[in-house]
Amino acid sequence: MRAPFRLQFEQRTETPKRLGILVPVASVFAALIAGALFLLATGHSVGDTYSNMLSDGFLSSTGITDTLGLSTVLICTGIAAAFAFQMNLYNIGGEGQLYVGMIGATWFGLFFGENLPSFIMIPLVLLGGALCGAVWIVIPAWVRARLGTSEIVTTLLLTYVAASLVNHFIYRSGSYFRAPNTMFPQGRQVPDSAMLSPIGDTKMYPTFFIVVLLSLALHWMVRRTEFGYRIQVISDSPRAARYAGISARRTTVQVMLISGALAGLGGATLIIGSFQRLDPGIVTLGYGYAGIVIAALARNNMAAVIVSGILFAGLRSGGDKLQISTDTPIHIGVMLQGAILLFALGGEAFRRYKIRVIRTPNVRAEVTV
Amino acid sequence: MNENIWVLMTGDSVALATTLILAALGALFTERSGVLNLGVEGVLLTSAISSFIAADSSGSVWVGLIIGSLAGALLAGIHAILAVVLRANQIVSGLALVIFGTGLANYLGKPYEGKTISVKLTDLTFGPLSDIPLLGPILFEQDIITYLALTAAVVSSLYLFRTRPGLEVRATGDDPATVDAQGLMVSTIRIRYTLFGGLLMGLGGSWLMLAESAAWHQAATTNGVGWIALALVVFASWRPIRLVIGAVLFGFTLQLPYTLQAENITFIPQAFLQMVPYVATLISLIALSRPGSTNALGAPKSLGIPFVRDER
Amino acid sequence: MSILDNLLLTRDRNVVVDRASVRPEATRLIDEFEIKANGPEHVARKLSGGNAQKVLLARELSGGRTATKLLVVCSPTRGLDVGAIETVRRLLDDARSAGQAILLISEDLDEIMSLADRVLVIYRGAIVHETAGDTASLEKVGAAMAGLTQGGA
Repeated sequence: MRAPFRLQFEQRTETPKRLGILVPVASVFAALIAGALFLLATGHSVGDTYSNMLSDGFLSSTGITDTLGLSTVLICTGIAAAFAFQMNLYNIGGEGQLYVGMIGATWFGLFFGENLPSFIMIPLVLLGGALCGAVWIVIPAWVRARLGTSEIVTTLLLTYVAASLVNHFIYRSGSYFRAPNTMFPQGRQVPDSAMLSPIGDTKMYPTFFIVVLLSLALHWMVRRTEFGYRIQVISDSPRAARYAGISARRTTVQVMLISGALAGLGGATLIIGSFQRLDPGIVTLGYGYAGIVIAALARNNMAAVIVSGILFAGLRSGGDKLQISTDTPIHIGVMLQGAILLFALGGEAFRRYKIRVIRTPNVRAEVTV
Repeated sequence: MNENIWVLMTGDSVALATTLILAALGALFTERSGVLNLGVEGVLLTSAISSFIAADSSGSVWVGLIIGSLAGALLAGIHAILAVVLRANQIVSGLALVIFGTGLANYLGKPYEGKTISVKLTDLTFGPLSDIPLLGPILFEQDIITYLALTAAVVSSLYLFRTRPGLEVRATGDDPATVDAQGLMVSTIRIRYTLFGGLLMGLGGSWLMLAESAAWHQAATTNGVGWIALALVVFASWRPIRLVIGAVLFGFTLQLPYTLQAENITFIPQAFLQMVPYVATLISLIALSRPGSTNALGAPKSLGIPFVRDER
Repeated sequence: MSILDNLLLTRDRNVVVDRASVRPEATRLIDEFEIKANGPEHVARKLSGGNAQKVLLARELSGGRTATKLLVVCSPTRGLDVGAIETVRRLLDDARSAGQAILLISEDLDEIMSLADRVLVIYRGAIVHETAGDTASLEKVGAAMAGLTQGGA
């Protein structure tokens, strides 16, 4: 069998600026079209679904504040993934680091919260979450740096271990994290000093601004500091890095620890904000996995993660509300996330290459005629 | 513990190993051709729900198996287009497939949530052979797909290491430039085995639905088996026979918590038992790693690297 | 990595990398070394072989962190076009005149003859011939390279 045409790829020496914007935007639209086909095929109304998602996710005042509230944790897991990805370290266990960050944040909250004031507790809980997230990636980081063990598989396997830990801490009777004297097992609420109240009448917490500032700070760090320069040299040219005396091993560990800490921080923002307690329900939400998509769509740019994080939060929260308004399965939101990323990846080819379709002369056909 | 537990445990390990073997074999063929498909978990979930719906509406297990397998190949096809044709980052593409596949499966599975299926693959029995104490129930009371999976592993081993097309697959994974110079189409070979890999994964996912759990519980249906399958390929050094041995071992640790719970052995917290397969995989992965290269493990040399002919 | 970032490899970098202060120098070096690039931000990987070679030389010869004590260059002009070869050789010669110690490893006899102050021939792991650059003869060096010396076995 002979293909009637083949594709010729010509590497671009310079990528037109407009493609940098056009490709992500086009992938979102392409995914929406694919989603529409699925909605039609399963007998749901496309117009209603999308208009509801748009208003509940972005346009209405409760919609947009809910979205920004949700985006806080997604931006965290997004920058966690992007930070490691930019050095070709595929930490895809942000999900597990998020769980352990939640456990850590809850522990710090419960343990110190009764005796310390809020202005000490909030930073302490955030740092505690980040610390525990980093702890959860120590083994993958170390074996990756020393033995070259694939961090993809190790970080992911540890996610399942972390999920079991969360369950253990809630369902085991007499657990420190479990609320005493409740019928149904649930987490113990952290003291008031370890929580922030939402802004006004919304589901948005001040942590959103902390996280946005952090993303911008990381963006600056990657571009302007010696540490960022090291990361860039190692990812671009490991040989040049070795020549310049930059230790890839040490930087690998550092970058992975920071990545884990950022995901753990995401867990802490949940405790300080809407969750207020360790909740085993977290393992069904997939905030950590969403971070991978958010990072990939932002092409590992920390500042762009803010935008793609908000976009995904809107898809998610708009999608979640669909169940109530139109009886459309909420999972359309997750499906669209995956589809957007798939299209963005395909679009990436157009950014890097000029692609030409070349017809191959069909020799066999001529012979038969 | 009485003898029955051991029979149950080992027999269930062989059975649980079926999905692992099929999914890991799928990944093995894909990777041997040089393509890394991390989307196994998404492929398993999508094929599981597809087979569920197909079997439920047609009333036939076989229709379910076929539709499930095709769904697996279809999803792998997306990866083939992105990774092979468009030369996208294979890691990200695989992860996107997991997210897309999970969302798609949950979307399609919403009306079937918690429902059980009326048809089920039945265990074959071999008359007197199945009555042999201990060995009988372990070896001679499985369903046809389990036997098929074991046969497939042996055939795959022969195919990969004893035939010319098998050599071509391995060469494509190791040294695509040479394959190209031989006048073979690297991309065609890679697309073909990515699709075939997806088909095998799809069969594994369908089996999970039609023989094992037989109820749809969203992502909990696969519970990370797809990821374990990927680790298993590494564990088996990309060799089908070692893969079977590994799969039985992994299957054993996977079902351990349930068996112990059923037998009321509760002195070990259940959460820790749930961790066992993941920790076991982690430890074996680390133990098999060597500093400097992944090649000591026998990984295909151009795994995950797109083939570009005229690039300097 | 851009040309600018390549230069930074051999320069002092503070905690905050000050690219702005290196940019004028990068522009000057691109000019001086006749590198065909759009500017300091041009990605080095996307340059042609000769121009990439010149970036390397610019990086090493233009001072930086510690002035290189000994520069080891191995076949510095292999695969380059005539113009680039000329530039690279001139740059090496200039560097030598400025007092830079250079060890040139090459199988290109013309290059050795035109650049070297002292010529050493290694055959089967041993130095079999030694001569000053201006007294070196093509025949003798060539013969030594092939192992055809009285002392060599």
